[in-house]
Amino acid sequence: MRNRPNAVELLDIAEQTLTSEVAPDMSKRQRYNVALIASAMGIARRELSGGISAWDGELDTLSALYGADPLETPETTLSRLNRTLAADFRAGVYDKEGTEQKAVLNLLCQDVLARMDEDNPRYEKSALPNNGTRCPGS
Amino acid sequence: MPLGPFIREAAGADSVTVEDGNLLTGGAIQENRALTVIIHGGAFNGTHQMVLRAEATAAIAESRPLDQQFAFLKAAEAGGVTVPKPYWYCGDAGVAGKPFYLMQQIDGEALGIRVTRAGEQPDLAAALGIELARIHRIVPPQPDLDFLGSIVASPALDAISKYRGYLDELPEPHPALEWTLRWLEKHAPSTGETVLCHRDFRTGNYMVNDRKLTGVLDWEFAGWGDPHEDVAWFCARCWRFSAPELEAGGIAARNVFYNAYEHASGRSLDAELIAYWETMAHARWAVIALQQSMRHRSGAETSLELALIGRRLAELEYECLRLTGVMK
Repeated sequence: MRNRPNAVELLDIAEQTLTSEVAPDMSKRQRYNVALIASAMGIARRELSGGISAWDGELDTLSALYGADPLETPETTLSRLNRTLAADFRAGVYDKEGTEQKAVLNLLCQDVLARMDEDNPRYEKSALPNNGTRCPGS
Repeated sequence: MPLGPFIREAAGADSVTVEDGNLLTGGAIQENRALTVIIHGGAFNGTHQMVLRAEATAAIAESRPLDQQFAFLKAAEAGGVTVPKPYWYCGDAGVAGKPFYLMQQIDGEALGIRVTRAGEQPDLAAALGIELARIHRIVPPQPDLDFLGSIVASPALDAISKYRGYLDELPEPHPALEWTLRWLEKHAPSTGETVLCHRDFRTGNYMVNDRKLTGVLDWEFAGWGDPHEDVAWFCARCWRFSAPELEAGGIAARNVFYNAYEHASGRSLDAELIAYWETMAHARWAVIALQQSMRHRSGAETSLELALIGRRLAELEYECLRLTGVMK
């Protein structure tokens, strides 16, 4: 068992120290770099708090669509099935409206929102129009 | 041959002194260096503040070579577009280490975050609408731009196949972008007018001094295309920086920009086409962002800034899903 504070907690306090104590004493150019570093640390911290996907439902949804291989690691399955999904979109497999299209579009929607929460959590609040963003449902 | 003698020859001068200035920031793809050039004799006699622009270490596929960028600047200058005056292009890597061109250094601020923090600027937006109309007055054929080749059958379908090609070169699949490109393929408009598109005409790529436009920059993506593509790119959410509610580049309402453009160009803008090209804008910037982050990931040019561009993807895909009606 590892000691505390854990990776997420350390990144959190390091980021806070950087932005509130280090940055104010720096030149304009270095403050820009500090902002980039803090941003990278924040993304890493939020990513570490999650699982293998930004959206928990990603693997199950893809496996339900295409079938999972029990001998594969979840990471390999995710990568393989996302490749299939991408190719199917390009080939027009999901052109037709219906339950299949709704399921894959819901997957895209949930996944994008979850990745935004990790990568730029403030974005959606400033995005317009943003009230009541809804995914298509599965 | 060092830089001084190159300028002396190009300018037909008696003597030239070059004082090296700073590496200018802004320009994730290109390298810009400020120079003070003192020319004695000839048509360029006097002291000039110039910018030496050279290709960065790892350019991306979308970016046009320097000699072509220089040709766009010349064409724009001839068309009355407010641009930094282009001086000379040099393809000989022996002069400055790599090919470069020299242009006038213009005063002002280009950084998108600072430009948009200055608040609503309808006069600037109108001036930019007029500049864009001037750019779009350049139509084929143009002998000096013959490297652009023939006009493609459909600018939209051509772009889609190019972006798919770029996606195929990346190590990971991108289903949300594939969905968007398929949507764009199915909804592709019939070919309209063909004009010179700047293809990166947006806040962050023009210089503002005292709330006035001093120059349209960054011509490395220009080419023949549909005028709506540039209008949509300017208004796309991803280029509004700190003022997303000001839909024309984060500096004004759309209609201010549209009206100035329509009045100056004599062209009526089609809202549906703008919406289509705005979807394309986010897909395109997403693909370019992925390429930019690959410059870092491949080790060709390690940089935190380039690395972080890769994590802008989600917000661009979010806009794609919104514009294609997936998100309500």
